[in-house]
Amino acid sequence: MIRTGRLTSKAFETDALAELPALLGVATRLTKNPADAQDLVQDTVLKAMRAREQFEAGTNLRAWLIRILMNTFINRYRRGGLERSVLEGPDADPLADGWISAQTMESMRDPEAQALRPMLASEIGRALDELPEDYRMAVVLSDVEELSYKEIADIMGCPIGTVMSRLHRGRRLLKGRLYEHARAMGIVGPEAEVGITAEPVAQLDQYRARKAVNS
Amino acid sequence: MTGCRHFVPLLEPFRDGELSPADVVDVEAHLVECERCAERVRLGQAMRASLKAAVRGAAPVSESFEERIRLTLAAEREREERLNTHEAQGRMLSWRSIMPIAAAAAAVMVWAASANNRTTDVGGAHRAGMDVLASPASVEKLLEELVANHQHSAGPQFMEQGLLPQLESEVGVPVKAPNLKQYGARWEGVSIVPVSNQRAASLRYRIAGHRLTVYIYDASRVPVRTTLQERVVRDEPVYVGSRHGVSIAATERNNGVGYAVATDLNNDESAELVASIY
Repeated sequence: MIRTGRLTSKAFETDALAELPALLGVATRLTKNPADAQDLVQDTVLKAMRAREQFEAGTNLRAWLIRILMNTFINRYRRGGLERSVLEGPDADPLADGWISAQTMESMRDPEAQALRPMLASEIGRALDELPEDYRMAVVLSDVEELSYKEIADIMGCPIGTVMSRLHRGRRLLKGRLYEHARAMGIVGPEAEVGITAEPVAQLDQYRARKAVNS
Repeated sequence: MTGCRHFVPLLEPFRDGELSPADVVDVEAHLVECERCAERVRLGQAMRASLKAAVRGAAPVSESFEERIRLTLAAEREREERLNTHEAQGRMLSWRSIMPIAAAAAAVMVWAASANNRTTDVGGAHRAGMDVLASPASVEKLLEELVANHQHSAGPQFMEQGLLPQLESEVGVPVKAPNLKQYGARWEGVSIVPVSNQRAASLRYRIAGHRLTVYIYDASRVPVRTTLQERVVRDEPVYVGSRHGVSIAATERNNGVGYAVATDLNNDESAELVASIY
């Protein structure tokens, strides 16, 4: 929610309560424990209330609250920052994006609901929780909370390029996991076609470098 | 499939709304030609929808949890109020040692206007009104009304600060409580008062026992500063004058918002006050 002007305590409360579903969703994926997640959200809202003068009018309150939530989580529940992904570094994963055929991708979707097939949808939460933490957070903040790359970079304390790479790898791992599940459930057949083997992360960096030169 | 190598890395930023308009046009053109990339985007959208449902569905906000947060915030508000009262007493002493207050009561009047941000349509009546109000005599009348309202007003209509934004439809400009915390101002409530055919929000405070009224209304209809004298405080122009022993100071912001302060302190002090509040 975007709001201009200084927030009174009452106005802050109204706005913050509207963000409870987002905060609790993120907290639950961080702590993987409902009781801890509720404590984390309570700490976050209280801290935010006390620091509300620092909230920059006209910016995204949700992003600001989630940044406080992440910092609180790191400080209180885990000293030493987010779990570093073991997959950070050169992209050696054989699951290139072009690996799944268009037909297979289509059969993973539920065309009527514009979501995954129900059997895959029920799997996605579990697949999400198996992602390395910083991939998981990037995906949740982008796909669920709809924050911008810049906002996510501010929250995670990393460059935008790193956000893009975590998002890409996280989504690709999710997709691979869902594909395996679809295979096991007999939703899709074996993949015969070998598509292009693009190296999206390297190209993303090139893309960003090109953008930086152009802009 | 030509071009996929170029476009695949753009598909996620495309779906995330992070591409420049020019790149969006290129990607959309490619998606029309390339079924596989189109399907990549659709599967990505399907995953997003299912992720949203999974994450929100796994952590619904129960009524009891929301109530717990409300109680936390209510307790914090009480704590803040206690703290402010305490702090105010300390701060008022130092403020008074710098600026001795001779008078018993202080009136602060604030005019706020935003030419770019008006929501009430007053059309022709507004234009005609401006011509009348622009004359020195009508500005004097307005000042008299505000001073009289400050000295003899009835009690506030309501005390809930959270309702202030709703007064915008009455007053014609956004109504926000000024930050008077540093002077230890205690909030008493707000009412709507008629002033020169306009409506003004009248915000009541008390500073160390002294009454303080902040008026907020559409200043573009009331060029109050034209009858006051200009001076500069902290690089900002401030307009200062006195009426019936009440000192008035007005200032304007770049975005078209004007403020005026009237007190029964001396002109230097009210000029300082308006410059420091905003």
